[in-house]
Amino acid sequence: MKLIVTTLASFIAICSFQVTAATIDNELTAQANEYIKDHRVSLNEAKKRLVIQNSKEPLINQIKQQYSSRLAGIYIEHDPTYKIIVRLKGGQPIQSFTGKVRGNFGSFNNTDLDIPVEFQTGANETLTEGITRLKTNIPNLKKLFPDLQATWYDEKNGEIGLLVYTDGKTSKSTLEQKLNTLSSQNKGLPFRIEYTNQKVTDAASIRGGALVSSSASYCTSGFGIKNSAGTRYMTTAGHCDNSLQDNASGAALTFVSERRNASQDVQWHSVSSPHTITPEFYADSQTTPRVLTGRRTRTNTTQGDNVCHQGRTTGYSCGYVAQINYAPTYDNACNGQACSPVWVRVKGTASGTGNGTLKCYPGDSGGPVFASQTAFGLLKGTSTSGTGAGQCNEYYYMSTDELYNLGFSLVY
Amino acid sequence: MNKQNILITLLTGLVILLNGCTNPPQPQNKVIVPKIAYSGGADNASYSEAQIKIEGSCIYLMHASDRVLPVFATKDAHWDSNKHLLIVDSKQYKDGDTIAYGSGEAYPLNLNDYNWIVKPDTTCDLSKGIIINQLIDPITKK
Repeated sequence: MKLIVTTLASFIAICSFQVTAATIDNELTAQANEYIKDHRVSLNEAKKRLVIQNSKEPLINQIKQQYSSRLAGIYIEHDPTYKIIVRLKGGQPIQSFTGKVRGNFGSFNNTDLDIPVEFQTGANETLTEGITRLKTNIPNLKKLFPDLQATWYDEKNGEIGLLVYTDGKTSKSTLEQKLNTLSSQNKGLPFRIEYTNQKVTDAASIRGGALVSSSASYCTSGFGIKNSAGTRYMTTAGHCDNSLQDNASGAALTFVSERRNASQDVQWHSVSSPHTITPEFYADSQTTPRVLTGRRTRTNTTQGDNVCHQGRTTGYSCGYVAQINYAPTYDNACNGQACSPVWVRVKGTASGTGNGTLKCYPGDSGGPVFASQTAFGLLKGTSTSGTGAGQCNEYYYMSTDELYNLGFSLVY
Repeated sequence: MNKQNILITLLTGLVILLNGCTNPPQPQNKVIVPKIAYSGGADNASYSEAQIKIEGSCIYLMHASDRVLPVFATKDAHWDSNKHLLIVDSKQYKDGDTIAYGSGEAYPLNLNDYNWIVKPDTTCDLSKGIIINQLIDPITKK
């Protein structure tokens, strides 16, 4: 019996190893197929180079250690020959050699592979000195080039690179002049500008429950929606300013349209690549989003239902549906029209007596109203005496029904 | 003309001269605070900040260079001419103060659309107005 178990275990181990090895080899082949599109080499040579790339760490570390006092940069050259280039400060020549690496995966596992190592001497500064020069100059660079998007030290040539945004109106010769002045202030060491017409931002996920603001006002984003063609938009309240940005990411929200009438108070915005609108919203956390999985129609909402909302002034709090056929009558509630009784009123307690721990305040507008992962609506208006728990008398939301009446559906 | 008459004439002249040297009394602005009936404390829940600016008889809320004429639907809103202060629901605001409100986007004001308690001066810029149901303290959190 013991023998059978041992044999079976060995068989499973061998099988799983073979499956893993096959998977790695498939992945290597896939990447090699991409590599040969850029370099005129065979598939096998491409695989070998990729294995070297994955296995070269001991060799690189050895070079770094041996030439630490002179090292100005290390980089890989792919064409015409695949090799490691080592740049060194000072003129003393170093003989190039063929490095050996031990292949550590795929069909090259445990195989010795050769890669030429070539030394280029005469660099003006070491890598450490270059990085120090970069760090020292960053504040000055930002002053000289207000539209600086990034800066770096290039190990290939010892240049400090600057990525500068220009809208086409900026005189490049003026910028180059500044660059020359900068270089002369740095003992003639090289600086180089790359121009871009795109401001650099992180690719952000745009979610509901986030702070969206203009220069003088702010609101909260609601839920992601999409039209029949699948184009996604982010919502907030229609009465919020139209020129908004998603503050967390800095992504501009491009106003598409809005509806402010007896039953609707919503505007929707598109975002440009690389930002994407995700089926998520901030709920009980303003940093960890929650995934949206469904919605509740107004007719399926019942008086007494427990609902929560996220607003950027008051955060997360929960209350109870008081009415589902509520018509606010405060001035300008429905953009000059009499509001229809299609709004949903939420109070802090199920009985309607007292405010419980409900929070609401200006700035919460447009934010998501939900229960668990189900969308109920977008917050519209509040009656409140402050931002604290229990200071919210009540708030009103627009049912997600109105998004569907406009031809949209929620993104989830 | 005897000496007494000359003295009286000189003193009168001096009084007139001294009066001429003092600043003439500045006419106090008659600031008009547009007001409609209070309709409860509820409001749209966007958050906006602005600075109060008095221009002639008009009161504006300034967002950078953008000016908005407020129409108060608060319990009370009036101008205290003696203290040169705006009083809204017992709170005092002076020219340049930062205030905050819900309400939302501004829009062109059509004077015929409202039942005025205090109508704005027609010389005021009506191209952007907003109904203020409640002034709130500015919050720095953003």
